[in-house]
Amino acid sequence: MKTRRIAPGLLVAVACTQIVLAKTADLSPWLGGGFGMFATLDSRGERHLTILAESSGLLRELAMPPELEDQAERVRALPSPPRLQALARAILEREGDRVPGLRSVRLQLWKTQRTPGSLAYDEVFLREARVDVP
Amino acid sequence: MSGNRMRLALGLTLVALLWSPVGSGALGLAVLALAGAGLLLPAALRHSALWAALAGLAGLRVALDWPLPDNHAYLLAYWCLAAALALRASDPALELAASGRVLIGLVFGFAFVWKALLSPDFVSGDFQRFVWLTDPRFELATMRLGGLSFDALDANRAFLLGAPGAPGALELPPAFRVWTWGATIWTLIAEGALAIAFLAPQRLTARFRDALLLGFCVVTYAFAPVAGFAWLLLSMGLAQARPGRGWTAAYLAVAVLVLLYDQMPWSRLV
Repeated sequence: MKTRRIAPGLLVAVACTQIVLAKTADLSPWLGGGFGMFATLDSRGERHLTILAESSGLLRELAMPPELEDQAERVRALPSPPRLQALARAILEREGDRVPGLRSVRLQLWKTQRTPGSLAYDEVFLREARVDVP
Repeated sequence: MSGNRMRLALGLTLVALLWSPVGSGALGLAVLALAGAGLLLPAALRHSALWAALAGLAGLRVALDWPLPDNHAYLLAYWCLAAALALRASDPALELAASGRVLIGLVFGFAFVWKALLSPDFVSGDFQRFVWLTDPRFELATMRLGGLSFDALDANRAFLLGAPGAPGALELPPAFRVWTWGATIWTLIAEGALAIAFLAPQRLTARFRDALLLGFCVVTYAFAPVAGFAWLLLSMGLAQARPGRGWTAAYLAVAVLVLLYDQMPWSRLV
């Protein structure tokens, strides 16, 4: 193989993988090395995580713990079920002592959806991870 | 291609690394140190090891931050790798030119595929309308070129956010619609043409390739806030440019222009 083909070959391999991940695993088209930036409204900023803590039959919304913001950013970029589950587990570990009677944490991923043409705002539920207190 | 032009292209890349550093902490410092060494020591600039180290650090940054790094980070790693490999070849300038040409073609090829084939909201014009209304970096240009008052822009943003009391629909002046459709069509045509120009056989496209890339950078980066990406493209473009001092001067002039765009956005000067 000519050495001049190595870097372009790597680009093609990564970009094709990015397209597959964007279409099958909700990787943000802006990220992942596929050169999909400035191409679509589906950016990381249009995805939102909601944390619901269940305690004593009540559901209560929690803020993302600051120390988990970086992990949350990665989940918004590529919200695969295992990543969502891992983040939910990390939230449960941190919030377990702070929320009295905490039974479970539900982490929901929502995405802003725009009506074609009018660009009207709507929120669409994508997926959820749930972790129970052992 | 002359060795001088290759050195200029590599030097431009290193200047971009100093001006717009990549990575943080020890990794960022190492990139800065290598870029500084390459600019201060001519022998280092032409040494494969320097570029291999930069490629390794750029790749490490992508791996550590994955999936968050933007496309600029990936392209930097590919370009540094191409330079490291070219500098080990018997004709480094020729090898670097070939890699640079294909990398540019592939970047625009994949960008075109995403916009034209994989993103219905780009082809419909929705993406450009949304971005020009919501991105604060485009605010002044939107008002000056799109004919929107600040109040109208504010009301449209409230609608897009679904805010209480917002108007029931977007209220866009004809100038704004024309402008955003123009941006959509320009991007599709320009990126498609660049992909063809840099990937098609050289004998067919060599005549207009450089002019196309330079024209794209002059127009697009006046608005798009990604000067570091533009400098990488210009470095690769310079490495593969047609012979002649005119093209070298043109690439360097556009690199300076992109720097000016970045430091003094024209829409604030009008």
